[in-house]
Amino acid sequence: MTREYRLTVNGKTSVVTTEPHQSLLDTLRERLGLTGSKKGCDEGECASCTVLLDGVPVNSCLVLVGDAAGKSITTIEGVAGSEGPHPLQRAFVELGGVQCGYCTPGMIVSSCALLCEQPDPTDEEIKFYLAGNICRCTGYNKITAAVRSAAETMRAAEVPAPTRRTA
Amino acid sequence: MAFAVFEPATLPEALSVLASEGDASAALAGGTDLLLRIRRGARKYRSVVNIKFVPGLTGLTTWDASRGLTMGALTTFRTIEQDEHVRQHYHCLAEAARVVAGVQLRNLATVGGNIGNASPSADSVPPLVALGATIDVASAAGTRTMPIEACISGPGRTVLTPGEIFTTISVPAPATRSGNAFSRFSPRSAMDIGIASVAASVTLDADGRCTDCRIALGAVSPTPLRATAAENALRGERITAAVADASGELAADAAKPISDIRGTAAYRRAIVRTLTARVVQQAAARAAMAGAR
Repeated sequence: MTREYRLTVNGKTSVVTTEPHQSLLDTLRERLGLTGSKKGCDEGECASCTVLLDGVPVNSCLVLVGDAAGKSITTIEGVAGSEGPHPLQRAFVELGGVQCGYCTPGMIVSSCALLCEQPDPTDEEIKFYLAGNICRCTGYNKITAAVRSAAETMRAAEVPAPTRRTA
Repeated sequence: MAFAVFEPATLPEALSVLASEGDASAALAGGTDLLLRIRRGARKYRSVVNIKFVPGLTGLTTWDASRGLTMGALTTFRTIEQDEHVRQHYHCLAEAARVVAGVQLRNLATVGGNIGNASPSADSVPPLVALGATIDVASAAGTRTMPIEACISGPGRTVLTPGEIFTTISVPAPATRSGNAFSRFSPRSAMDIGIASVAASVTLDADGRCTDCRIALGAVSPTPLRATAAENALRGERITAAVADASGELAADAAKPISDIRGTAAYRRAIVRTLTARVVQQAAARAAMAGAR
C-alpha cells in the first residue's frame, strides 16, 4: 500500500507517493531522479549514499522514507551554489580527491557536515569523521588534503556551509 | 521484503500496536540492524513499528548529580558520544560510543537497538554493565526494570516477549573517588566489530584502596559477562600494575570466547588479559583524579 510523503530536498518540497518500506535512497534516486547519492552497498557499510537530515549526515540506504518526511534533506545535488561548485567540490577535483568518483558524493556531503561542526579540523578529525566513508581508489590522503584545503578556502571567504544544523 | 510501517505518536499507541501485531512485527529504532536482516531475508515481518516518533524515547539524556543519567532507549550513539555529562562522568560509555561504526551510522544507531540486537560484541553493553545500568521494559501490560545483563539471554536473543520494548536506560551516579574506562580491540579502528572489549568501573577509598569495582567483558561470551574473580582480586588493594595484571589473568580465565573468522579463542583470551589490565589501571587513575578534585 502506497502513502504520500512530503519531502523537502535541497530546499524544494515534493509530494512523493511510495511504499513505506522504501529507503530514502531509493526514493531519491528512483522517484525524484536524484542519482547523485550512490547505492554502493545498500547496507550501511560504504556511506556513498550519505545525505544530511536537518544537517546531520546519515546513510540514506538505512533511512525509511517516512523518517525523512518533514525534515530538511540535503543531497550532493544541493551542495553547489548558484555561483558554481562548492569549495569542497573544487578542492576534491583540484587535489585529486576524486578518482573513480563513486564515493565522492558521500565524501563531500559528509565533509560539509564536518565543516559545519568544525570549520578548522585537524587531519585526525577529518579521518575520524570520514571513517565511515569507504574509498577504494585514493588511499584517502588526497581526500584529507582536499577537505583541509576547502576548509581554508571557506574560512578565508567565509563561505557558509550549505546546511546548518537546525536542531 | 515488503512490510507495513506503523508510526505511533505516543507510547500507549505504540504498545497497543505492538501487542496486537505480536511476533509478526518488530519495533524499529535506528534500523541499522533490523532493516538489513529484513533485506537479507534473515527475518520476515508483516510490519515494523517505527517508535522514533514516540516522545521520550529519542535523544533525551538527563543528568542529576545524585540520581545519575537517564536516556531514552532510542538515544543515538552520536548523541551519547557528544553528551557533556556522559563525557565527564561515564568515560567508558563515551569511549564505546565513539568506536561504533562511523559517524553516519552513529547518527542512526541507538543504544536500545544495540542492546536489543543482543550481539555478543555489542559495544554499549560492557560499559553499561560496568556502570551498573538498568533498563525499563514496557508493554501494554506494564513496565518492568532490569539490569542490562539480565535482558540478554543469548546471541541475538533477549528476555523480551513480543509486545515489549525498551524505553529508558538509567545509569547510577558515579560514586565519590570512582572512575571508569573502556577499551576495544579490532583490526580496523572504524567500521569494524570488536574481537574483544573490556569496561571497568573502580571506586577507591581515601587511601587509594579499591572498595568496589565492576569489570564487564564483550565479544567473549554468548551473554554479557562480569569477571567477578577479576573484580575480587582488586577489592581492598591499591591498583598497581601487578594487581591489574593479576586481575587481567583472572578475566582471561573467566572469558568464554569462541574461535571464528575474527580471531581464535586463545587470541581473544590474550586480548582480554591485556585490555583488562589496561582499563583497570585507567579507571583507577581516573578515580584517583576524581578524588583529588
